[in-house]
Amino acid sequence: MAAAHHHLAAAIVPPLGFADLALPALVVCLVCLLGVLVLGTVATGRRRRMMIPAAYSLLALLVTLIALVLRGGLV
Amino acid sequence: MLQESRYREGYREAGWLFLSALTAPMVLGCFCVYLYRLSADGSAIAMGIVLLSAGLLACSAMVLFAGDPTISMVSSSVALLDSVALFTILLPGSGSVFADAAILFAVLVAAVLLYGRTVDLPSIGRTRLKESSVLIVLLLPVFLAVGEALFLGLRFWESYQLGRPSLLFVPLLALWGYVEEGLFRGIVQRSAVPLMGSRGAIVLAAFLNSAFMLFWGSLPYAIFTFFLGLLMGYLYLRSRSLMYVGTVHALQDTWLIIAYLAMGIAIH
Repeated sequence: MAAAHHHLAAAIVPPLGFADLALPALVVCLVCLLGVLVLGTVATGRRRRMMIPAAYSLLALLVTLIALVLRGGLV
Repeated sequence: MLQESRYREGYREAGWLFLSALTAPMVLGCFCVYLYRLSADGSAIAMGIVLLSAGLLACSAMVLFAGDPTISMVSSSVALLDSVALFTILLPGSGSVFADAAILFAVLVAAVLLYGRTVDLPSIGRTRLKESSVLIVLLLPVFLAVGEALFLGLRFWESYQLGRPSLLFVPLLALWGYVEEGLFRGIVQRSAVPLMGSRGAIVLAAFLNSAFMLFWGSLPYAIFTFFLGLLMGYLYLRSRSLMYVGTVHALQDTWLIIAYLAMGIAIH
């Protein structure tokens, strides 16, 4: 009942469902985050601030993936 | 003075070409996800992730190295879209679609708000609403919902296994309309106005919006989103109010879901 009740969420999150492996997702996320952080370190002022939202999204993804790994949802 | 003006004009034209090249990985990456949805081929999604990652890093480099700040600004908005697309691809797996939706929603809201606070977006002037705006916000969503239902087919969402409908979920769907408008109209369109002009910015935002909708694996849905994006972009240009276009979009989604619920289409 509960699962079917929540399936309307598929209208928001595309039902891709292939990110069950944590390692590839973590590697992609870390590479992108490191790239943005390195570029952000070189940048100054306004240009550095422009990179913050993208870095934040990747950081949020990293935290979520780590949380799912710790919870045992991913392998 | 004239020479400097011509130099800046030439630079902007080159920047437009650069921007086309920078948005290509985003669009192609979304198309790879679309191919994955059609074929379930793992290599398609791998290519999509590579393209989106490359696009993200290229846009970030463009933010840093572009001489014209207007190009940097658009690049930063496309970089945000790339990161959001990567987030959406890599997120599922918690076991609860509802939890995934809540996480994606929270991260997107925070990203949109963060962008508004950290990037000095160009001023578009004061909000300009007329008395007829009320009529538009009441009637247009109904027509759009009917139009979407007719364009996509009344049974379109059945292929998504929506399950037993929850009226409690309708408000979250409505809030999603605000987030979508904030991301594509409030950030992408607004950041592109100085570089591409109002019309170019509307088309760019609508195009990227429709590319993102390829994640749902439906070309008609993406095409409908493109035209919806053009309309919302025009409304945003006229009203200069994100809340206004967000309300129109939210009401359209709400009407659509209520219509589907009323017809019993989502019930299995």
